[in-house]
Amino acid sequence: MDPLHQLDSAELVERVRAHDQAAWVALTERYTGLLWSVARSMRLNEEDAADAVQTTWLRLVEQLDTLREPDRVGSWLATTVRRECLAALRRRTRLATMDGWEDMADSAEPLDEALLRAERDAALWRAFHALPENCRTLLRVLMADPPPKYAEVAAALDMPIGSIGPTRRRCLDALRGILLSGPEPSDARSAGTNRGGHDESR
Amino acid sequence: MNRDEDDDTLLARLRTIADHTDAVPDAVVAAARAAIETRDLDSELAALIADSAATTPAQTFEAVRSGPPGTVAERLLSFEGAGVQVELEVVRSGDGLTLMGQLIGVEPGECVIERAGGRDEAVHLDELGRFLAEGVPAGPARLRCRSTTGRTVVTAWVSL
Repeated sequence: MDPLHQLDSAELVERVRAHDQAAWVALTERYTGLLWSVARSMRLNEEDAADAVQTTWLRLVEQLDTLREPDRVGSWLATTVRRECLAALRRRTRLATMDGWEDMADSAEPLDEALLRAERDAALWRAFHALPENCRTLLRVLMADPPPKYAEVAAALDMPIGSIGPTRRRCLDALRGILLSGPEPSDARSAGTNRGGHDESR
Repeated sequence: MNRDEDDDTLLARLRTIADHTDAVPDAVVAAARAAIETRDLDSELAALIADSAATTPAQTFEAVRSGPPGTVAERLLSFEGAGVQVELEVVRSGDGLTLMGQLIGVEPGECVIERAGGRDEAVHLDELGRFLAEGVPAGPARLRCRSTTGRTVVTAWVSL
């Protein structure tokens, strides 16, 4: 494994400040997956998500030498991309109000089943989309590769860090419930709504 | 298998599926790597102090009417720093964005709209420090100007 990938984030930031190009690449490899997941969890389309992630990295470069807590750079990035996404959503909403609704086509759920290797995965992905929105948002962020720290997830979603673990557990329970309720996506969706609270019973 | 392993396994499966159906586009990875090339140790920053599209209270102000009667500014941005103030109004039109800027503390002449990964565009400031740029593509951008004290000032990046 590339030794840079074993350095903590504060050390990577220090090296980037000292003009280490490889450290910058390692930093982007560590967090671009998280930033993309956050933008997609907030249902930005691909174009807006790409702009939000790019602007977040540009902002880090801009703040590189004044960043106060380099060890928390992941949380800083997560907070920054969240703000960018909220601004993008507000622009989008205003635009939709002005232009009618043609720009609101939801491309945020690219269920390209041809790409899924097995029906089992397709069923799981359908079940995921039948979850309540708060669960879809949290789980989409947790799906980031590499997996984010809870502090970064909390920053990305503006949630208390202590609620991430319990919510993750409840949402995965709800997901299993939908999977058990049957293979039909329409059934799964209605079961997901009718059984609100099913996941609270543990 | 205990419960935590169970949860971890299920999440790992979801992660694998997301890697196939909603992977980070190559262009996004490339833009992240290229961002470091915008590092600029010689210029001073005019920070974003207000954005009508922001939701955090410190950066919020009400959109006000301006321009010809009946038109509403789509987005208002304010930057300040290094003795320079920038007010930027962004209006979406048929062909890209129209930017109207008003700058204080800047030498008359030219400023540059920098677009990460795109073409930079020079804009001319009139004697009152105003400029108009039409047909600007959406995406991250910042403004680079020379202050009256001879320093180069750049605004914070914003996604237009």
